[in-house]
Amino acid sequence: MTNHDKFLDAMYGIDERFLSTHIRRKCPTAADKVKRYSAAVIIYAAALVAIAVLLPFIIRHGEDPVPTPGNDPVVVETDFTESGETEITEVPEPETLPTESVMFNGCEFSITLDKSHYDLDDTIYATVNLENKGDETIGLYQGYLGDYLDEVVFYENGEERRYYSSDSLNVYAEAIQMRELKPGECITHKVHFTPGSPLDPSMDTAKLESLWEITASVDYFTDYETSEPDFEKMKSAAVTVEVPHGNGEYVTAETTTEPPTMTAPPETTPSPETTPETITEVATPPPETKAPAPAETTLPMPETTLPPVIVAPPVTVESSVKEDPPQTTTAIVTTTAATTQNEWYLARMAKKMGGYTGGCRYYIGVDKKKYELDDTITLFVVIHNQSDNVVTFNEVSWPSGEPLEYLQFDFGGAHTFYAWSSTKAKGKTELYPGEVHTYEKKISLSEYESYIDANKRWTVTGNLSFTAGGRNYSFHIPLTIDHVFE
Amino acid sequence: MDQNNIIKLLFDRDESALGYIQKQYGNLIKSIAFNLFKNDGIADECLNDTLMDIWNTIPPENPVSLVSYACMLVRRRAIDRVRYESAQKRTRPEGSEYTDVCEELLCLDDISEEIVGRLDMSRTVNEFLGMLSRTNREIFSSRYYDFESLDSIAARLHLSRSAVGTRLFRMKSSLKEMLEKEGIGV
Repeated sequence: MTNHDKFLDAMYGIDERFLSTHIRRKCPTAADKVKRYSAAVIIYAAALVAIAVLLPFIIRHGEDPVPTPGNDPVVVETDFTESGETEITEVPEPETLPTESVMFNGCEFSITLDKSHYDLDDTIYATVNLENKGDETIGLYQGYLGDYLDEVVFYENGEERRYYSSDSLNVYAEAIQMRELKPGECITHKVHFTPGSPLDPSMDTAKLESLWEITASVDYFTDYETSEPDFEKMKSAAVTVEVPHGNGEYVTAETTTEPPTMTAPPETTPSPETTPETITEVATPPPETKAPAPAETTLPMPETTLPPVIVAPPVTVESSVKEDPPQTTTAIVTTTAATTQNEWYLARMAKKMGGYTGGCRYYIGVDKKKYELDDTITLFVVIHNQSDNVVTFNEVSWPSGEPLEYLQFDFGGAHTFYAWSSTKAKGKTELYPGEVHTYEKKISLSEYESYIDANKRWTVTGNLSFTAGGRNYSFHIPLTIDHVFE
Repeated sequence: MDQNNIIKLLFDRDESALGYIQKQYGNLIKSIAFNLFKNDGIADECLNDTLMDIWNTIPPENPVSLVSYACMLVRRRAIDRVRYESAQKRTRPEGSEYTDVCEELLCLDDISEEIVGRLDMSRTVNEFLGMLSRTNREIFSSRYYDFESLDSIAARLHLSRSAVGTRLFRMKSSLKEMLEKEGIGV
């Protein structure tokens, strides 16, 4: 190696403070920004105060000289108010701000917006309040990696629009994470939305003729103790406020007579071949594939910006083994449940990921938070039809054309494997309003020993496609399965 | 989003962190690679590889400055790529700053290998940079770390191109003297 090559290599080790400024410059922290803005506010306030104090002096200096006595003009003042006439002073009516609230277990859960009407360019500030007005302590639970469970979400005609939200890190979930809410305590959280200016510039703005809503949700349980929560008693609460905007007349999916127009999916899908009318929602990106040679793997980076998705190339699946599940129990449980009695599936999942699309709330979950190597994992894929439409399951075109839903397992070993539900085989292809569909799968880890590397990350991805309201939706939900490492 | 939050996302294995990194630092990372290759496609590949390196190394790495760490990774990737292609084709990318930088540093090849072999090159270079004025240090690291072009450095620092070239020439001479003294003294 030449000396100049050695020198260039030595430059890797130079002190960071010697790097050029455009590399060293760090993005200002939130605290830095607060300081800067505070300083700016103080300066502007001081300037305004100075102007307010000095202005009268400036104006008075320009006034006409006081007239000398004896030359005062005679002024006759006439009272033009006739007897009996009263002065009417218009008192502006206090602005009624949009607000909604629900009560659960003595707690008031509310959303209030900051204006009574919004234009497309306006920023919508939503204040979420959760106040315990009861006598007992309530436990608040944030599902592990539950980015989509406890949240404040903007909906346009019932479809979530995460790219309008300032809460991209889901700080709201952290605000209520795994904590108790004692009687008299209150949590207040503010989020703002910009439907006219998506965080991802390639996304469409909201439409004024659409119905805009903001929904806040929370998982909670009673009989709170400081130890592990009792998942059997886990419940959900949600409150939705309509955002007044436009002329107040909205065209929703139910009122439109023409096929809905396609919108660009906010996130790219991994692999399935979809029809041109398919709108694909990805809850979170699928897990990274296992140990490809680094030189051969290139992440297909999306051209758009937030929210990004790193998509694992499907070609890696070629090395995977597709096999039907072993003889362990595979249960298809579809129950008809009233919308208000739908928390039972949440209680069964110790850890879950989920989302909402096409009027359906969906989850993938497991029954324990952490597994030993000889455990049996019970997996759930749950779809709850919360719309007024009948939802029809579609065939999933990849990895094979037959099944309607499948799970992809990656236990860190040399291969991934799959398990398909037999929903279609059982003839159940529809989900009526309010109905809950669950695909349950048990995996006995001891039977999959050859697929398991206990020192690597384990993931499972649920995949399903359905049609609702004349539109196709598909989702792929990855979930990390926590386990004891060797 | 500030870098601490991005690093937190990386520790939480949340892939959205890479999107934030690409948005905030992508242009800078890519420009370092582009300076070396003058090829958009290769620069994109280097950017992708760098994001992959960041994902694979954080954690356990927990850099103080994420942008510096990213630039170090892309620089390493890009230089390795240049050297690999040079070895394969026995030529260097035409028009790239790497070619010009290597030609500028040929004066260091005059130092005997025996002397260079005794050196802790990184320590010596750091000592050398510590002795420079702020502007000269900026010029030196921009040229030999970022592979930034002379015109770009001159425009950024409001100097003429010839002034930047002259300062670099003097600094190289000083560095060469220092390396020789350090190597002999060991």
